Amino acid sequence: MAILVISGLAVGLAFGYALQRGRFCSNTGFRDVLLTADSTMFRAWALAVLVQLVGVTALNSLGLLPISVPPFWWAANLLGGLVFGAGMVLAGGCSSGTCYRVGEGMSGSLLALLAFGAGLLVMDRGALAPLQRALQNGVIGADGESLTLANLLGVNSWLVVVPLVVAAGWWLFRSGGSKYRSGGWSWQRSGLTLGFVGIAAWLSSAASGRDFGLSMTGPLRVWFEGIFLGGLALDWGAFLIVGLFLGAFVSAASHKELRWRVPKGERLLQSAIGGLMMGLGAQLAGGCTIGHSLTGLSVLSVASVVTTASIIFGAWATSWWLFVRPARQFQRQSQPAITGD
Amino acid sequence: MSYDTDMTQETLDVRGEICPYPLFEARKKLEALASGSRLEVLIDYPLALDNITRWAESAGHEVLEVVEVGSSEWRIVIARA
Amino acid sequence: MRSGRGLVAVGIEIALAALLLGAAGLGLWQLNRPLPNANALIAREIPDSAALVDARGPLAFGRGHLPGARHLWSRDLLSFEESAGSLADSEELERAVRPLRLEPGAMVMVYDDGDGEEAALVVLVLRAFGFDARFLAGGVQAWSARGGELSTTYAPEQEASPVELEFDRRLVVEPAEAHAHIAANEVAPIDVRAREGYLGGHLEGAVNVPVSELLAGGDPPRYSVLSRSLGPARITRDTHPLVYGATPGQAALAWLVLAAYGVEHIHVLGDPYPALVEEGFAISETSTPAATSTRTSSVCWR
Repeated sequence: MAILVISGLAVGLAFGYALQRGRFCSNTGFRDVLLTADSTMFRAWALAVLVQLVGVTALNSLGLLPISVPPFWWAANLLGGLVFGAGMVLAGGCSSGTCYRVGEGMSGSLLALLAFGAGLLVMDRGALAPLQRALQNGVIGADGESLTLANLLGVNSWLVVVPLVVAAGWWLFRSGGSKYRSGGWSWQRSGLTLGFVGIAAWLSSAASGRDFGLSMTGPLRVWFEGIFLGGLALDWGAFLIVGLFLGAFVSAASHKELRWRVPKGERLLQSAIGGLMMGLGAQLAGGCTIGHSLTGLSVLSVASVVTTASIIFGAWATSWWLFVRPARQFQRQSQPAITGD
Repeated sequence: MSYDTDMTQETLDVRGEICPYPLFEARKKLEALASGSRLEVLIDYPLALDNITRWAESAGHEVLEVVEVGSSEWRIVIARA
Repeated sequence: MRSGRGLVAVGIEIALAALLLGAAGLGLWQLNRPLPNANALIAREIPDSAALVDARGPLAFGRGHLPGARHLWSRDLLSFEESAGSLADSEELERAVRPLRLEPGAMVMVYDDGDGEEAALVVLVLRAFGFDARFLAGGVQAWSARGGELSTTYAPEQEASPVELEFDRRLVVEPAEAHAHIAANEVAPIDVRAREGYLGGHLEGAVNVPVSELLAGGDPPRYSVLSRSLGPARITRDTHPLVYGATPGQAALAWLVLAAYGVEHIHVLGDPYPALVEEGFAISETSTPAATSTRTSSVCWR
């Protein structure tokens, strides 16, 4: 039914709106934990995962929702995650962050997005396709099923979900937030909203015959492939992307945050390189911070756990190298000047 | 809101920059200043507003002023601790 | 000014929340609604006007069948000449079907002992001959469980009816034709054998949809099972599903469920998988389907 495919647009609108309001970006979330010891965005992300995890597991165990689990290719997940994590720090946003910023008028993000598309195609169809074929083979999984934390331990999903929710929930609500805000949502509100958008995405997308939740890598590739290589097949995900841009645009416009922003030239180049790396990494790992770190985790996929860990490691290493290391050098240089005053 | 304009004040314009550069540059610049001096940061990115004020407070600096000077444009004034 | 802006934002948020709930609700309903087509192919009651056909073996039929049932053993539709149990050619099929003396286009209820494969094969062949054949859910087991009497009256040998019968070769395709369709990328091959069989080798580009998975869809079957199973297969307006199994009966049963789910233009291969290997179909052992279908396979849409 066409309306089911187009319902991707409705989910995308809400998704884009929530991303912009919550300033939600896994890059910010993962990076700030290291860079400024600020876990506000990380909490939003964790809450979104938990809400979706409980919702999807409940719908699935009631037999109301079929789910599919990303396959575990350890080498592709590890390498792709690292490259993606490094790329998102350079580009200043993960795939969702980049996309919602395009909706706000960030020129660097637009450039990163185009480079992301190029990266997807190079890894999927271009020069690096043999690497993808080599690393994405060798699916590890019990009797053909993709590996999840539950079937790895041989237990019911709830036996994994409940302890996870209790532990993470305790950590989440232990301490509060901050005073100044630019009119964006609190982490609680972002996390809850994105969690519910994620559940709605599973339902709506599965009904259209695409049984997975929110994702960006695949849908973006559909668009880039369709535009540059021909044969555009509009599925649920393709509409999700359109909705995302529109939703972020509506959110930014209605809050007067819309503005064409142009950074200096070297930063544009950095965004483009970062975008390209994100594209290569996401395609290799079979997903990005949305497909793996939000949706894949909600079905306890081992591939998603590994990819997410790898993305965080890649992001931290790059952040350290780009921001922490130069700051330390700078402090060492400027120390005498300050004390001399 | 007013503040003493006689105090040494530096200006940092990071409009158009992506995350985390506004925060990063503000931090670099502020930490190079003498204690008590003020830094005016011009930003046009909402997330940077959250980031910079949150960081400044946690680092013990004083956020003197946050003014929305235009459409999605803010001026933040921070006093170095 | 500020409150005006706030009001607009609240309005937008309410509208978006409504859209999101609508999409989720529509999805939930679609995933779990009973299928509209199910009753057209899978019957639970026997209308008075319908003819009854027993698809079980002669011994079972002789021991007791539904009153008034005619007999067509599903095995009589198979040919064991060349390889193990392919569907017979259309002349042989016609010779087997003719003694049922059915009116053209007649409604026929077909049953077996409840296992399904035998009755499904007879339904498939009768449908290909243009009869309005339906599968009687549960077969003899369900009939007896409801307290239905079984008859042992021996059905006399019946004379062949003189009517022209035409066999639909789009529904039941010849291997040679299937070969051409696959080469031209006009069909989406669907392997309905169990997972182990599929992993041991399957037609190139085929997606595995075990028949057991289809049957687990509840009664009446729900859409979610179908959308999950057929998700990886790239079925479009121009690319129709081509079903094959370990036996013609298995393929027929999968066809029946898929058709009941509302999948249109299904082609069924009357030859079992081993026969297809002998026929020289391209075989693949990788579990991710080749060529175009990888683009929609489970990994690639995220």
